Amino acid sequence: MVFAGTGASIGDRNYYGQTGSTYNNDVIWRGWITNSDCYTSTTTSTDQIWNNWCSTATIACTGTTTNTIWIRWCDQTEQNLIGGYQNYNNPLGNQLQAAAAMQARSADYQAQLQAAQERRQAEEAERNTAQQAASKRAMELLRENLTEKQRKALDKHGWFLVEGGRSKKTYRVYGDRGYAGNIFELDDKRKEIARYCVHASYEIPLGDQLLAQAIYLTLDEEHLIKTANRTPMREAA
Amino acid sequence: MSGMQRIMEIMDPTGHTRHIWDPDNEAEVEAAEALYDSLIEKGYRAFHVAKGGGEGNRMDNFDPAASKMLLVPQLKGG
Repeated sequence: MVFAGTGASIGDRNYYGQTGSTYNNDVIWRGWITNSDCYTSTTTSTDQIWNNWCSTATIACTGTTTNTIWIRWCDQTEQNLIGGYQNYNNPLGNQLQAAAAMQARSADYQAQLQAAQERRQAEEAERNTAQQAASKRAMELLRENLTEKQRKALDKHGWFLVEGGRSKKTYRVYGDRGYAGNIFELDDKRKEIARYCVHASYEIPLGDQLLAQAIYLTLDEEHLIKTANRTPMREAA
Repeated sequence: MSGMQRIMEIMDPTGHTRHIWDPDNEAEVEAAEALYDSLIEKGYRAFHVAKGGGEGNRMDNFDPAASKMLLVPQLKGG
């Protein structure tokens, strides 16, 4: 990027934020006078500004000519445009520097965001795998503890029958309706006459829930009936 | 049944956890009983079950000789 010299190209944007492609010293100079915060008076002549600038410039020293100052100013402006350091006389340079920093922060943020998303996806995949394994293990335990007749009924109908250990009533335990409200009391004609809603902790997989229901119905029916919410459906035949 | 391994199946979020012990090994029996007691304290109920389902009984105390027991979480009304 070059910002000075006759016919020099500076890219897309000049010191004042104006879009352009070719500038010479005169253009820069005129622009500087027009836009300078310090010298806004229309009566100020170019000579006055120039002399003042030369006398106050930090690079001025004995033997410095206006020519060397001018070249230095042009070089300095280019450096500031690149964003080498903060300079109050070069707001665009500061803006570019800030934009670059913002872009870097944005890229860093995007990278962090992506990493976090990947972590979440990995954790979710791990959770799903663990849940699938738990469901499989629970179903294996259920099947291991059902009678052959119950296993066949579960495979064929999605439910199995359990005889109440104390009452000798027949209950239908559905295995494909979740584990709340999936137990039905049957009458002598195998019609559903009441629904029971009872389950173990929600953290326990379905297979374990069904086995818990079956075990309680068979070996501790009184406790299950006492704990469950019973909803009558129709009168027994 | 002496000399054969005993099994405790504990229903939990992993599907179930199997704990095995030798009834002739005092240390293993103690460990199994300690586990049993801790689960009962949490509200679990223990059932002695036969392989293949159908048979069994509710246990009120730890029986180191029980061939297979199921530790079932407490039920809640829905």
